[in-house]
This record gives sequence, C-alpha cells and structure tokens, in this order.
Amino acid sequence: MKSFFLLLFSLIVFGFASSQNFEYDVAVNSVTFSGDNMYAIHKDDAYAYINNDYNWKDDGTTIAAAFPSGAYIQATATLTLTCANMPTDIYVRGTGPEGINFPSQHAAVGGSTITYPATASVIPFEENKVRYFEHFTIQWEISFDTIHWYAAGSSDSRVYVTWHDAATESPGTYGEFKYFLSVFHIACKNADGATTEEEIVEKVWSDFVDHSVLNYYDLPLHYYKDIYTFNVFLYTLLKDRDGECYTWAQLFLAALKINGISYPNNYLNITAAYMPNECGTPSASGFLVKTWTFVLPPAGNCDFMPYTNIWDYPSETDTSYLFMYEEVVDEPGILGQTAANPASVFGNHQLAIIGDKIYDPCYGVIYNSVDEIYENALSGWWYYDYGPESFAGIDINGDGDLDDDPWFNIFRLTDDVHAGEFDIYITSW
Amino acid sequence: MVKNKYITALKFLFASLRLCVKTIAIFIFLQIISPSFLSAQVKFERRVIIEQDSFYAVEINRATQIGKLYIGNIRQPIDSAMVYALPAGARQRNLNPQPFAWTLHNDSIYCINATEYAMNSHVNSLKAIPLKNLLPYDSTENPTKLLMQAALANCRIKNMPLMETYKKYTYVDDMYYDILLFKGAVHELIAVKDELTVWHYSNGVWTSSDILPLRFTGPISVFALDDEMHILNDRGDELTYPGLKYLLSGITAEPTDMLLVEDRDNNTYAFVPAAWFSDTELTVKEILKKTK
Repeated sequence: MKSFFLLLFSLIVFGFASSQNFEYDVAVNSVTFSGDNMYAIHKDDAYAYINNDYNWKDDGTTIAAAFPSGAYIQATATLTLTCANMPTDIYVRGTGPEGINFPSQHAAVGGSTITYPATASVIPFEENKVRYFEHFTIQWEISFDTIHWYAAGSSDSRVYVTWHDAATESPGTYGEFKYFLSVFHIACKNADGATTEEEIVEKVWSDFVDHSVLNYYDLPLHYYKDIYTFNVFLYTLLKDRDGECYTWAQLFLAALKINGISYPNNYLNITAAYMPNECGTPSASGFLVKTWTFVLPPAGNCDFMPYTNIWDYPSETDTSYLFMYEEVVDEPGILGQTAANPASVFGNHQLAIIGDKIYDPCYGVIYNSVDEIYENALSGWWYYDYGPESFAGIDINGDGDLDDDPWFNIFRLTDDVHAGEFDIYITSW
Repeated sequence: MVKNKYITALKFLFASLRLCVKTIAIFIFLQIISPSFLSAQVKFERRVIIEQDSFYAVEINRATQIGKLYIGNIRQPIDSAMVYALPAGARQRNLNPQPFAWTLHNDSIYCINATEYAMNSHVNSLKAIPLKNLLPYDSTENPTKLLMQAALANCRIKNMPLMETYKKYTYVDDMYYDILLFKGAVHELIAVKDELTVWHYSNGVWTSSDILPLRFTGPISVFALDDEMHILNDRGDELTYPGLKYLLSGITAEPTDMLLVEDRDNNTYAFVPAAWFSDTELTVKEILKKTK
C-alpha cells in the first residue's frame, strides 16, 4: 500500500514536472537562412543587397529568401531560455512546411541564449517546381534529452523557389537584369506550383493581363503614371514604381529569367519608320495608341496628315496632354498597367517575344504578329511641325485670319492606321 | 638607456599614430568636400579630342543616359573643365557595350543619340549640336527636357544609314557604329555580323560603300589622320579606309578599356587607358606624357 502511494505520488510529481514545458520561458528570437544556392537578392534599386543578417525576428520584421528548386535550405536560430539553472545540454529542432524540417541539433548555450547551428533541411525544395511560401513557418522546439520536446514558438518569413537556376545577372551597376526582390515576387508568386516552362510563362503572364502588377510590398507598378517618365531601366520601374514600355517588357522577361527561362532575340523594338510627305519634312513622327477620337472635320492643309492639334504650353499635365486647339481627342482606350489612359503618343515601343508570340506587358495583350498591332492597338499616326498660323492653315486664335505670326507646335494627325509603318529590330535581353 | 629606447619608440609610435590619424582625417575631409573626389568616377566615352589647346570629352550619366560634354584646357586639371549638358546620350546595353558615338567639327558636336525614350526614332538620332547652344550641366535637373530634345531636336540630317541597317539586319545584338567628319562630310560606319558599311552624306544624299568584311565582336571606332580614315576594331586591329589595309595599332590592352585621343593640334593620335582619366586632378598633357 505504501508502495502504491509512493508510486502514485511519483507519477503525480513526474506528471506535473513533465508538464512544465508551459512554464519554460523559452522563445525563438531570430532565424537566418543560408545555403550554397541561396540567391543574393537586390533591393528594388540596382545598388544594394537586402540585409541577410536575419530572415525573421521576434519584433515582427521579416526578410525574404530565395532558392532554386532542388536546393536545401539551411537555418540558424537563436532562442532565449530563462532558467535559474541553465542546462548545458539543450537540443533544438524545427518543423517547417511540407516536410521541410530542420533536424535536432545540439545547441550552443551562452547565458540565456541558445543557438541552433546552421543546419540543412532534411529534404530539399521539390525539384523543377516553382514555389512561393508566403509564410514559411517553422515551429521550433527545445529538448533536454531529445525525447521530450517543448514548444519554443514559431518563425514566419517569405521564401521564393525558382524553377531552375536563375539566368546570370547582367554586369555593371545599371545592368538591366539583376536578382531584384520584386522580380522574385512576381515570378514565383504567380507561377507557384508550375513545373513546366509553358506553365510558368502562362502563369507569370496572367499577372500582366489584369493590369495590376504588384511588387513585393503589394504596391502597384505603373505604366506612365507620370506622362513623361524617363524610366527605361528595369530597376527604375521597381524603384519608382513607374516606367516606360522598355521597363515593362524587361520586367516580364526578367520574371522568366529568374526562373531560368531565357532565350536570345526575345526583345522586340518597333519604331516609326521615316515618313516623307508632301507637307514638309516632319521633325519627328510616330503613332497614336488607342483611343484617339477624331471629333472635328479636318481643317488643316495637309492631305497626308489632314487633322491638326496645336500643342498648348505647357503641353501636358502629369497625366494628360494639353492642346490649345484640337480636332482629335485623347480618350481612355487600351488599358495600361494600373492606368486607364496612359501616355499614347509614341515614336517607339518595346515588347517581348516568347516562342512565336509577341507579348505586350504594358497593356497585357498578346499579338500573333507585328501586323496585328496596327489594327488592334493604333488610332493613327502623327508628326510634329513648327510654324505660324498660315503654315498650319488654321485660324488658331479665331480672329478670322491666318496672318498671326507667333509660331505654334503643330501636331498633324491621321486616322489611317496604315499611313505609317514600323521598323522592327530584335535584340536579346 | 633601455628605458630611453622605449620612450623614443613610444614617441615614434605616437607620432606615427598622429600622422596616420591626420592623414585619415584629411582623406575623409577631401572625400566630403572635394569635387575632384566626387568626379573621380569620370569615365569618358570612346575618345578625347584636342583642338586649339582645349580638350573635349563626353561622359554619360548612366542613370539618366544623358551626356556631359567636358571642355577644358589641356594644361589645367580635368577638374577645371566646364561641363555642359548634351541633349543626346546613350544607354548601357544589356549584352554588348555600345559607347557613345560622337565627334567634333567646326564648333559643333556630331553624335548619334542612342538614349531610350518613348519619343525617339532612329531617323532623328543623328545630331549636329552647335557648342554655343549648350547649357551648363545641372545634376539636379530632371532629364526629361534633355531626353525630349535628344528625341526631337538638332536632327537636320536624317539618319538613313541606321534606318537602312535596321531594315536589313533585324537581329542586331552585334551592331556597332561610329561617326566621323571626314573632308567636311559626315561619315557613319556601321558594322553588323562581320560586315562593315561606310556611309557618307554629301549634297543632301547618303551614299553607302560596298559591304566590307571586318572581324569584330565589340565596338568599332573611326578617326581621320593624314587625309586617311582609320578604323579600329575591338580586337585592336587598325585599318585604313578605303582598302582596309592593316596597320599596327599599338594597343596592348583591351581596346574597350582604351580611349582614343585625337590630337588635332599636332596631327597625332594615341590610345590611352580610360582609367587614367579618372584622376581628374591631372591635366590631359600630364596624362598623355605617361604614354611616352
């Protein structure tokens, strides 16, 4: 009987003791990822790399990490254990998502700090599969005997996994293709789960079709938010969240390159060809992207470019063109990225070529040939002239004559989408 | 005696430390205030031209694509040069470098604008810009105005050679060009896929040479000397045109790391490591002395 009570007492005491895990004051403080194949990620500005001192901290800050598929992710963690008699033997392990766990390791103990050494996950990321872990959550545990484990909190940060090794970065500070944070985000978030090249192209492209491409911080990237943006490098689009056509073609190609998909002759440039005509030599010429509505009958004196607008001064606001006289009106037409009516007076345009298709990431449209662009995207053609009323053939100030001498910036226009033609050339991006 | 030795050694050590600290402080001070330090990253494009004891050189602002024209006295530090904003420029190409193509003739700069901007067209890319029209460079100025000018202004001569070349060669990763005023006429040399074409503009008409075989994998440059046109390829081959006779260029380093210095006052030329011009406290004269 005495023995029974002793046993019962022991069980109660032991049971009570073994439930002490809730009373251990232990918590994970920081986690840092590493690995032979881990990418060094640039901030969205071409210059600096993101801080890789840690990937998660208990103050809530997180920093993304990126790896190619098939790679093992390594983790280091620091934890704090508040204990009157700090044990010398403490073990730590982590349970990650989808079996990507971090095995038990004997941790270094210094004061109240426990350090889990850099340890590779027990399995790698799945081979040839794009992954986006918005929450790469690891449940951390400690043990004093590797038998009984006590919860030590969890870490949670973002991890990107590319399909194959990313294409090599371009050299130089302003090299166009670099491992930018938001390129990983756009490439892996959209293509999450894709296992083939075709699937990745389709899924990444789908992000451009809805005219709302969001960066790492879930902020929209714009196409001509400023009507005269001069951003033509990929990093300027990411840094300023605004860019010309160049940058959008590059962003789409970069999202594929980061997944290891890269082919030569993938960057299509179209420029307005030379347009000699009977109304003098234009100082510049180009095309109008939809939609420009030809609202007044042409009053000008040029048959080749019969319509006329006269540029105001200044000639634009941040978001629209300004004319002091207009027969042709710029209206919303083809949606641009986060823009109902982006800039639409151009001398050139840039697109991406994948296979036998032409992708226009600025507008989220695919063409089968350059010929389709004329019919589907253009409202007409333009050229600049500079001269007095008599040169334009229009009573601009409405005083009943054509003899006013101040010179005007004359914008001659036609609604014939085949009046001009594109010169095309192709380079590799 | 031993003690004295230690005291002497300690004094020497402290004196050295003071000198070291002073040197570091001066260096930091210079880094902060000296314009020469700020401009130490200057890297000129393709060539430096010397005319009437002045030097002319172009730097491209890699962020804005816009050119900066330096005009200074060859006997004074490069730092002291006037710097003008050029309404033309170039961008860094992804695959292959294409240095800014420019030259000087009769107080005008002739160049091929290779900036990327939505209003650009190749036909307007050949620029003849009078020096007197240039304004001082202002690093705080929004480059849009200059990019617009680069797209639309100073384009009296249409760049038909470039238009024709793009029509002929759709795939142009390996296209390179340079510009020259030779015997008063604009010449544009365009090389694509080991084929060189020399274009010249006379009486309002562009005329092209036959296609000439020229091996290259990078930029070509052209300059005039003794009434002959000289062409330099990225392999360091120097040839005269017409005829494409090979000469010894004297280039021992990577040609892309060299600047061509055209001394029109003495009718000579030299190839100088571009990095030498990074020391902007030197004069062009002093830099050229290093080549001898």
